[in-house]
Amino acid sequence: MISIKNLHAEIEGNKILKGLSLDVKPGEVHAIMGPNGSGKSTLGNVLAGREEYEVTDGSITFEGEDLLEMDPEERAQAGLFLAFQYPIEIPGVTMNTFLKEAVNAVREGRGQEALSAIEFLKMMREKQSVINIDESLTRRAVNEGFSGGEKKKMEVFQMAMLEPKLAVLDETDSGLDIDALRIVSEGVNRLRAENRSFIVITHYQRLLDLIVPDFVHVLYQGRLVTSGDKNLALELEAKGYDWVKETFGEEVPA
Amino acid sequence: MPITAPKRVSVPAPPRASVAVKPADLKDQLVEQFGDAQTRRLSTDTPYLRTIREEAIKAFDQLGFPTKRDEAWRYTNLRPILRGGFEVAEPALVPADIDLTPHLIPGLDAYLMVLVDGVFRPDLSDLDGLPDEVTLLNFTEAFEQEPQLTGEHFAKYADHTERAFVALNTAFATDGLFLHVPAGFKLERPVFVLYLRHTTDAVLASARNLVIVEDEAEATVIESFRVAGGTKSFLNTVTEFYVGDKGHVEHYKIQNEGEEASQFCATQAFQGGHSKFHTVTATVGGRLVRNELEVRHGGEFVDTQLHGLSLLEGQEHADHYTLVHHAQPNGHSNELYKNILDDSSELVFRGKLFVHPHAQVTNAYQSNQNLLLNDNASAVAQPQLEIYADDVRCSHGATTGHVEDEAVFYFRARGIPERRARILLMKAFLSEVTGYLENEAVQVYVDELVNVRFGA
Repeated sequence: MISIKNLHAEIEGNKILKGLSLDVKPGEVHAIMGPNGSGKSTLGNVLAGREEYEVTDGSITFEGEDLLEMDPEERAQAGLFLAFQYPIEIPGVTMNTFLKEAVNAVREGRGQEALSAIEFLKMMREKQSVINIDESLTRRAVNEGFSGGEKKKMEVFQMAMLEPKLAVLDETDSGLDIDALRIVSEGVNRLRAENRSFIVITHYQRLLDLIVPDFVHVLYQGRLVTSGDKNLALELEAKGYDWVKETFGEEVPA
Repeated sequence: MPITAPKRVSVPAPPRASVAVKPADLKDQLVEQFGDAQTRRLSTDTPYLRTIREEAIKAFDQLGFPTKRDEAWRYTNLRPILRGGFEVAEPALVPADIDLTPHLIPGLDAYLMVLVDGVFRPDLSDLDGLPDEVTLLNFTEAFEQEPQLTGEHFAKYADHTERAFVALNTAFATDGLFLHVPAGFKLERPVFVLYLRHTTDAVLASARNLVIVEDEAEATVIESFRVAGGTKSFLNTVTEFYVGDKGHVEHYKIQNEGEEASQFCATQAFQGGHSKFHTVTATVGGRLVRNELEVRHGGEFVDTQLHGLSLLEGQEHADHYTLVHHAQPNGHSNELYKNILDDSSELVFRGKLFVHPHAQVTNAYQSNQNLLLNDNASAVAQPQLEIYADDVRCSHGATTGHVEDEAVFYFRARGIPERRARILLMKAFLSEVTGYLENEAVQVYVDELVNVRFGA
């Protein structure tokens, strides 16, 4: 599905990722955990193609293609989806319009015909029943005045509509209470499929109780320093990130 | 009521200026032409109208054209427009055959009045089916047929003694809309005034409208400005609205004349108690467009809604000058202008709120938001609040910025190409204003103008 090799990335001259490598096969769920400042969000942003981040070394191959050569919209059309940590509010554009534009842009990119208004509506209804969202939200401006939970739920709904091959969840749990977290996780779990992979970026283990990963990786100082199964997340929860710093950290001059 | 075209008399045109004309000389020429015109086009004026015209030309003679030294014209330079000079329009002897189709608003069901270079064209207009209660006439006819109404309302709201262009318009305009809607009558179909530029000569074309909507009456007036030929003319239009107690006027103005044509366009409204005046101005191009919008509250609990959008490119320049006189207590006014400026276009917005001493419990809001698509584009925002009452709530805000990169990225991350993302975001920015167009056909039309401008 995706193969990241020796990825180095920086923003405004600050080196953040320093040789990150990761292979994700179809249907797998990989969790990436790490303390603040380890490069978690940078990974999500580099994958989505945010231009402020400069990739200085390494490669990313997505479905056999060089991802780093693709514009953000091409990546989305190719089947990559980033669920934003902070979904932005867009006054004046309804979620309906936004999704119709997005679905049809992605279809066009994949060489499929645009959906008619009726077909689109039908798809909306189907996905609404899967993700269980309130229809009135889709008639409102994108994310405008939505609660934190509603925004994240809407990200998952967008994911359902765009049917990606690889979904990257960037700290989807941040700012959510336990109830909202459960609802959002249920949505994600319903979208798990044999040919759909996930990279779940999180600071906390509690999300991984709800979205159970196949692999857990620890990101520290821009590299994956250790990997394991879901038990690694529990170990991390028990020992804390200080353990990571002590075990894998370099001496920091006083 | 019968409507007749103005009498057309052939007069040899004076020699055309070939070198740059000084504004003062142009003024003298125009004043001189008024004297000539008195023997011709204006010869059918009633004595009352003639008296006011004479006042106006005298005032224009004294005022001259505004310059950048006038505070109200500080950011709009007329000199390049005046340099070529222009003469008072002479109506074509043979009415040009013009295909209206590209200039109409699809799906708009309205009474249609067409003015070509400021001259009423009954042959192109469609005023059938007007209710008996309502009077619709060509401007000068109204002075003969409705002496009382014209005497009571004409030149009472637009100041022809202190505003040069209003004075010039008052002196020369012969044609335009006269509309009277009697008390308690709701005119369902809108009145659509279509201004077409046709002449290729550098003429001054004027049009004058007077709309009287009596107590508890309602009307919608739509103005659209289009080019159907040359663009060298200068168009000077003035519209006066009287809105009686509990009356309601919807007014939409669409200026879409391309990068070459220039105009001055004044809208003056007087509102009675508990009345509503709602106007939306859409300026989609023009070399130099100066809009003056002035509203005076003549009673309590008045509602004034002023909305505008501009979409400028190239070297276009638009100047929205607005003024609301809160002269009575408990008045409410709300103003929102949104503008998108590309290339090296320029926008001036001046919003003046004048709260008179006894206009207590006034609520007045004003907002001006600009999106710059190019570093060479510029926007000047000048809110002016003059408040002489103490129990008032007034606020204003102005922002100028770019399309947000974060928002563009969000769209792109969902597969929407960058160009399309920007168009959607710009349309969203304008939608707050276009949403105020309550006539669906007009709203669709303006949306489409926006689409065309963005190449969507």
